[in-house]
Amino acid sequence: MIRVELLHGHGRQWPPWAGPAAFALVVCGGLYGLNWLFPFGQLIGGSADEPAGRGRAQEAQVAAADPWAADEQEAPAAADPWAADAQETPAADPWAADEGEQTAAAWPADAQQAAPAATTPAAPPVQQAVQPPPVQPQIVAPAPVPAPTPVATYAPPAPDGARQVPRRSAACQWAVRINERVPRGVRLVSLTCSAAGDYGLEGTSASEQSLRSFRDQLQKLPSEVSLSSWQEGRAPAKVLRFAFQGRFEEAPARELATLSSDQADRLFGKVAHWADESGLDGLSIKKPIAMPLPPARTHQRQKLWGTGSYQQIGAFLHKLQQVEEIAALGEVVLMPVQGGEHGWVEARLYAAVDVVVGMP
Amino acid sequence: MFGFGKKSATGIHVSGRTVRVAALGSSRAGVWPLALVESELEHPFDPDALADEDRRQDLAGTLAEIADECGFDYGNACIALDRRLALVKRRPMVVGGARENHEQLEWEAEQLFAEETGEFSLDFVLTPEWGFVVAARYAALDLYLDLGDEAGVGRLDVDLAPFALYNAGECADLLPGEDFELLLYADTDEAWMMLMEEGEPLAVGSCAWDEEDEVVEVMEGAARKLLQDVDEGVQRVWGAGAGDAAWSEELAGRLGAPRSILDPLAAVDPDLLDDDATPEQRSAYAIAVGLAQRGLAG
Repeated sequence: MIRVELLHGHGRQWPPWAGPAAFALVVCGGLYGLNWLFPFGQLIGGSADEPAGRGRAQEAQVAAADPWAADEQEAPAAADPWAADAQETPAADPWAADEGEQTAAAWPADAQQAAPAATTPAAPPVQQAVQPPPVQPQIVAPAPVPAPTPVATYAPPAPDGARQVPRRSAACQWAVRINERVPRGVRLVSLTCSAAGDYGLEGTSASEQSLRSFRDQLQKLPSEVSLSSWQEGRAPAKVLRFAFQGRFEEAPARELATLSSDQADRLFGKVAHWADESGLDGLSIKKPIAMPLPPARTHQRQKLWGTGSYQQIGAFLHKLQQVEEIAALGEVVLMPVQGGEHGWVEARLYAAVDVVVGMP
Repeated sequence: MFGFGKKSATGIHVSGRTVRVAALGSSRAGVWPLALVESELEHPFDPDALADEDRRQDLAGTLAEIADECGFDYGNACIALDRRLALVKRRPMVVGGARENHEQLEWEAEQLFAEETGEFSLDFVLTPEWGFVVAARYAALDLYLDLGDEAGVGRLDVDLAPFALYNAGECADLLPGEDFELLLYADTDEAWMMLMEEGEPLAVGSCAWDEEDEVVEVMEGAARKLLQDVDEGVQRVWGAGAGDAAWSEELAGRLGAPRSILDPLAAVDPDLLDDDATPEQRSAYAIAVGLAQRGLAG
């Protein structure tokens, strides 16, 4: 049985002012009721007789007894490694100067020249980069799916029943570079790819000719690709949409080198740092998930969301490519934010970075 | 309390000028139809009509009349969203569990809707291979709630026609889970389709046509779009709907697959069915029955 819950328990959407107004009404009603039972005039008159210092003394006692209050006072003084980093190495966007004319630049080469060298940057704690997940849980209904599997231990089994060990793969990087082959008149709505080499492109085209040109470009890639396009809507709002599914040719690839738990933590810290350093905005990084692998290893995955220009995203992916022996880009989703006539200016990025960790 | 587990639910499917209502009852003994009723509106009911109070009242009045005549109520009713008011977007799954994928789909939906995200009610259908983002504007849902109030509906739900079609087929113990099957509901001027792989939804689509269009060609175009990733073609087309039965037969022929009738009451004890109705005729209620089945399921 499939069931989608769009009404969420018959919740009618109230205008934005209704909530605060209802709250104010309840508060006013409550105050009115209190005033009726215990007239405020008497209370105010009574408190005025109290010694002025008494209230503050009570506050101080309460604060002393409340451990949270103490924490709150100390919190601002806590060291912020990101803040320190920002002072020492201003977060310069190496591509800022190029952004005006950058749409078709081949990023890996450029990134090597312009992005700050990927030496060993002080890996800040990942938690500092963590923000609330970019979701709005209040508009989500319970998913009509089987009971959730524990996140930290689930991975789809390989065809033979065993979990596959992540291998080196540049498929996602290749897929993102497809963006350089998008002809004028074609707009990407989304680009997805997995380390296994499966990629998908969706978008719209201004004309059949532009779409043909794009298809020809894709067919030059060393990949299998199935193309489909269709008209949507009716004139004059007719849109030519396309969906391409492809798979990069498989090449023998070595397994990722096994890291210790500390090394993995440090690497994920670097990944967060690289994302920030590359200029990606709105970064959200969750705690890595772990999936057991035989023998005595785990596949750890760090998920990251952010927004950036093609160059910024390219600079970040290029950094990841430099550690391809120990980390692979497992999944990538790119969703351009359309703007201007010459393709997208920035895109939302989802990237999953995989490593293999040995169990102690 | 003393109903011995008896329940009832109603499915409402409006397409063009036609209103189809299926009321089902259920107990431990099974499910049976209380009413399968069709009525014609004066004008086609579309999103504009939904927003127009007079025309919405017209539909509400028709629904109330149907309930009065047939002796059931809308205590638990589900209505199919108009094709133009719901958005279904298929996205590939990411590695991880249901919660991970749910969050990922939510993120992707936010990117798709950008600053309009808050205006949409979202839900997700996850299959082993794909996630479907389902979205409808709160403004449109509010109008359905108004319609429910005006028609005297106690508890209203909304769902999408293709999912109701799937539920109807599943509850009728059809859909054997062949490699690839196509569910088709063809009405007089629009059609819904769902492609399934081994019993799981693989893709969802719809199409509409005008008088000058070649209907089967339009449907074939929509079906081919769904079949783009399927190398071997479909093993079966399940046809339902009030449209010309020859359409689904011809479409199945073009796709090189046999056609079967999706009778939504195929699993009901024949003694409880009206003898006069044929499976083809009952198939016109497939979406309404699927919606009611959802209501019965809780």
